[in-house]
Amino acid sequence: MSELEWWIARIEDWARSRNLDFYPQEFILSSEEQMLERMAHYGGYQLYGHWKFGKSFFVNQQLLRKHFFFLPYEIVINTNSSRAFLFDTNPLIKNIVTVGHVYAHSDFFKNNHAYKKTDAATVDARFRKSAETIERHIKNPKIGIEKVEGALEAAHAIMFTQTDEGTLLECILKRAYWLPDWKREVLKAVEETAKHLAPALQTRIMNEGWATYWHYQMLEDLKKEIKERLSRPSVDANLRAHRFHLRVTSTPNNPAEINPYRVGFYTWQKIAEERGEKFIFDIRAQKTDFSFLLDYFCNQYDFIYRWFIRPVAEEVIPVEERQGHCFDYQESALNAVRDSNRPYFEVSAVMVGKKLNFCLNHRFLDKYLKISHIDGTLRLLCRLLENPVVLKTKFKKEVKKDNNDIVEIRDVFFTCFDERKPLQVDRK
Amino acid sequence: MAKLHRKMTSNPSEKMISDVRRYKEKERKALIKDIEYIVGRQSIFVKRGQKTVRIRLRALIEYEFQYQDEEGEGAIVMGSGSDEDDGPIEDGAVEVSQEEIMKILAEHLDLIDLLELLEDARGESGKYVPIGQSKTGTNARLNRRATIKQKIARTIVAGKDSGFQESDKRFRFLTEVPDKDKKLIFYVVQDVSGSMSREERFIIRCAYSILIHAHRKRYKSVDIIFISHEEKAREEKEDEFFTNSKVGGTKISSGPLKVLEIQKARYGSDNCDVFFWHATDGLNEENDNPALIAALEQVCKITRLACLCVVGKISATVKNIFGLSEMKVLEDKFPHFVLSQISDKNQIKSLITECFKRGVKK
Repeated sequence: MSELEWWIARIEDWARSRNLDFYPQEFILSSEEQMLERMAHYGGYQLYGHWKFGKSFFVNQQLLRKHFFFLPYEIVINTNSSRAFLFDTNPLIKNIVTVGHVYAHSDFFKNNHAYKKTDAATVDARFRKSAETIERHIKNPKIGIEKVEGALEAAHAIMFTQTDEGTLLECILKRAYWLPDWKREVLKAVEETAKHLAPALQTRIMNEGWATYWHYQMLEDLKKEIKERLSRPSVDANLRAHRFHLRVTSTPNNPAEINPYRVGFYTWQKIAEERGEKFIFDIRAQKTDFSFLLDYFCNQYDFIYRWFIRPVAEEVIPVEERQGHCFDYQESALNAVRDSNRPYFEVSAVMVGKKLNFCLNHRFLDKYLKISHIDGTLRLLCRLLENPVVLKTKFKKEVKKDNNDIVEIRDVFFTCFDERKPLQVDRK
Repeated sequence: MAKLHRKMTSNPSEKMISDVRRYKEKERKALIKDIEYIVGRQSIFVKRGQKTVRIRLRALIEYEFQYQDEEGEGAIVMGSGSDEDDGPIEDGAVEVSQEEIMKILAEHLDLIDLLELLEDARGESGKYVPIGQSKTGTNARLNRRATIKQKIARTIVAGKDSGFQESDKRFRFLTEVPDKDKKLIFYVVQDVSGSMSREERFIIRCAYSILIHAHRKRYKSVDIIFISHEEKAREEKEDEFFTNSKVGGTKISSGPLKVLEIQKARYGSDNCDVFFWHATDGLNEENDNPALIAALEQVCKITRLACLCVVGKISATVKNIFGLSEMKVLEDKFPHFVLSQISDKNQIKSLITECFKRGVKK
């Protein structure tokens, strides 16, 4: 039994004693390259093959070699039994902290309501099956890799696009009855992946904060053992562990950036101090990021000022300005988790001939869509549906009225009739 | 009780390796397909101290509906589409070596043979080596083998033997091997008055890129100096070279004059070869023409190759410098002065060949 295995067993016992409720856990020691591969596969699911994953792997590998990119200390994914990947080259004390972190993540996956629909027990089998299906279509000479990759590209482009009828993928699967079976199967595979990954986007701050809160508790509880087993005369293992914890929860250099570990950690700690430990278990089951921040983070200016506001250039912020700074920080934290970060569409469809023409009506909230991406995505959609696609959104236009330049916001329609031709742009 | 596994191998899985291979294949295909767009719009020369060029390939961008980064920038230009919309190049950016881009470009223009011949054409500096064939030349450079081949081919088609004819003749053309220890200074001058279509822009960039690339290996080092002008000339960087175009009067002479000025100030009496490349639409203010001829003559005296390239179709009604009689005089006086008119990418090959043919005498 290696030292790390002893610690894993010890930490598992500790986690049970603190009422964490997790899936059976597996740990896998990996190399840098394997970690990169898992990151490309959204954390290590067994997915189909596509050049997109190759791109992510290759680009990150290049960046890693130039030291522009840092790998995470751990990757843990929402499966039952839960798999977590650790670095074989990391020092033991870092891996011990990370193990505590992983058990809390696993507890979160098992108990948070957003993950209830993800069915972690069967996810491996389901993903493997759809990967095999896609593989079969690629090998089928009547379909071939080009077509399958094209359909996958289009599906990836609209993977997380929300509409009034669920995700756009669901909507297409429901309405576009003329699509051949292989295309439907490809779309279903991507939709399944998107569904499984969506909760992670909604609970990033809570989840990371929860895991950080518990590894910190673990360091407190196991202080004695860490000291006995790991400290050497010149090295204080507890000190190193805490230094590691501080690095994870450090304030970003750019004050506009949000460190989800820091926001989550201090918020959980505050709730635990104020309401008791039993209460935080209820919250971790019921909330997602937005409501979590709204209820326990917002408008607590003393708390925000204490932990998150860092004066620029060593100056002390005057008392009367503090609230403004706190409000700004709070807004940027809320913005990071708001649903409206992603464009939202209303779908309507018109019968033209025997097929439906999809029309996406962008719900305009004072933010303009990126034109190059409208172009690219509409082309992909047009190829997928083999049918024209229309997008309605708003853009600015300067108009002359009574010799004054007035900026008007007008409806603009983008229509893609053919993937290879330029889009038709109509202004109202 | 939790299990701890250790993977026996540290390499990525086979599946990932094949995904990476697909990605590289896609990258290469996109490079070949988009080469005109890339050469026409992005900077493709390596910067000092770098080995690769970062270029953006649209086929590799992962599109999704997303918001613009800057708030309030909601205006669109009608009919622009994505073609003119060059955002930051983070997504879809790839690192490609200069060699590779040029190879693809040469293949696209059917110039690969010429470049290979040039690369093989090594010898003592000052010697002349054959790099191709042409239909005109002196008898001393007659290529007998090619001429006989032509004759036989014609005989087979016609069905009867009618002896050698003048049109069968094929001549070698030669290019001089430059001194490898010398430095090359390449002036790229660009007339930015008036608007240029995408194809014209591509033609210009293509032609000088190929020329510079072909000479990279023949010289110790190459300095490229970009100059743009309308009424006044100024030095620019490659990135901004094609972005700013203005409408207004034009004095084409300002380009060569600026070249003379820079050459005198920077390189003075250095022993280096100078190439001059000037692309323009050929529309000049009439009173500027004498100055232009005088400046060009000065330029011709210090360069090994001077090329004045009139881009676009020439209309009969508007006066164009291409038709000036003084230009013909200049051409006769300086064999290395190339005056050419180009409006189609298929003409690039002959233009490049012409440049190598003529750039032999000083």
